Amino acid sequence: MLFGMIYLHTVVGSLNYYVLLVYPLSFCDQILCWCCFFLAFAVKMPLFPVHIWLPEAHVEAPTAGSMLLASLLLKLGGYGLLRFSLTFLAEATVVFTALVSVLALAGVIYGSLSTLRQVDLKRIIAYSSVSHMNLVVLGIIAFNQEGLEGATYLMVAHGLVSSALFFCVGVIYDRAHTRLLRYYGGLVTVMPLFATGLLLFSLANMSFPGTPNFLGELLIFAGVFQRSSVVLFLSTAGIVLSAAFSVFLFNRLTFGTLKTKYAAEFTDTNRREFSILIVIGAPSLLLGVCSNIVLEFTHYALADTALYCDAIALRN
Amino acid sequence: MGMELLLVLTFITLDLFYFFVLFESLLIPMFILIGV
Repeated sequence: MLFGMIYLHTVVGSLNYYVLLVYPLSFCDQILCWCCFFLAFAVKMPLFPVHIWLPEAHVEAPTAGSMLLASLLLKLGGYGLLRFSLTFLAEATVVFTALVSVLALAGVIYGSLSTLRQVDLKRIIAYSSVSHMNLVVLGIIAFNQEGLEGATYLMVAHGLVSSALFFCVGVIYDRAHTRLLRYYGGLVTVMPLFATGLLLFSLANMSFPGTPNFLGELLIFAGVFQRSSVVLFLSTAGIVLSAAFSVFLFNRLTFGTLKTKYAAEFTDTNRREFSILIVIGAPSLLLGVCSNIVLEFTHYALADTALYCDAIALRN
Repeated sequence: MGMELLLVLTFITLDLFYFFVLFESLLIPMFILIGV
């Protein structure tokens, strides 16, 4: 990104966003700068195959770190793609659409499949984050209003739901001091409030209707369908798998019998934990039924970008 | 607090240089949060 920025300054003479928007960059310059910028944003998103850092970082991080990482840091990559790659580097983005689509599709399916074989709770949620963020990339490169709005909405939804799931993992880690799945089971008998919260966020993670993830993914699929039905078909496979791992995670944690003797001593969520669940859960429920809170802002903000990219995509 | 400030500045900046500086400097509070 630094190299691309220096090159851009050499060519344009300024790094001001409005100057870059009106400066007629040559096609070769766009390609070079796009590659530099995309690499930085792809790592941050994280796009397949440069996603390996995310599960490792989540495993090492404390609960608060994981929540911030999932809810805020990952969105910087998506913001960068929307802000820079789709505006003054739009022609290069259109050229690389096929490549990015393949990577994002692979990420959606691979991320979902990887969750099914993980034994660490944080890794399961981290790989589901990889899957969702790759779906965001698919929405962005659909180059239409629905795709861009869906990508933005899914980023907001994922920020709430994913951080809530990491918080849930933190709650049970505080009690059992392990994140390994095999030590958990039957938590609904000792932690009913926690199980209810986990159910809500697991449903949101699998894009159940009435949750914000559902609206985001629906808009993304509407946008992707306008471009390619094959990409849509393959990306929906990832959604089926995401439902599978969400049900698997919730089922293993809450139902069945208590796996350890000391699990019977677990206390339900205390006031502090419950209030945090409410603070994250209330906006999740609200955004699931009142999408206009976000979409009325994004609709006009993304309309010009969508029209511009759509025109370039049709021209090519 | 510092992380929030850096994030807000990253999202509102209209200069690519400042965006790059803020984008990368966010790694510092993340390192402290995760690694320390």
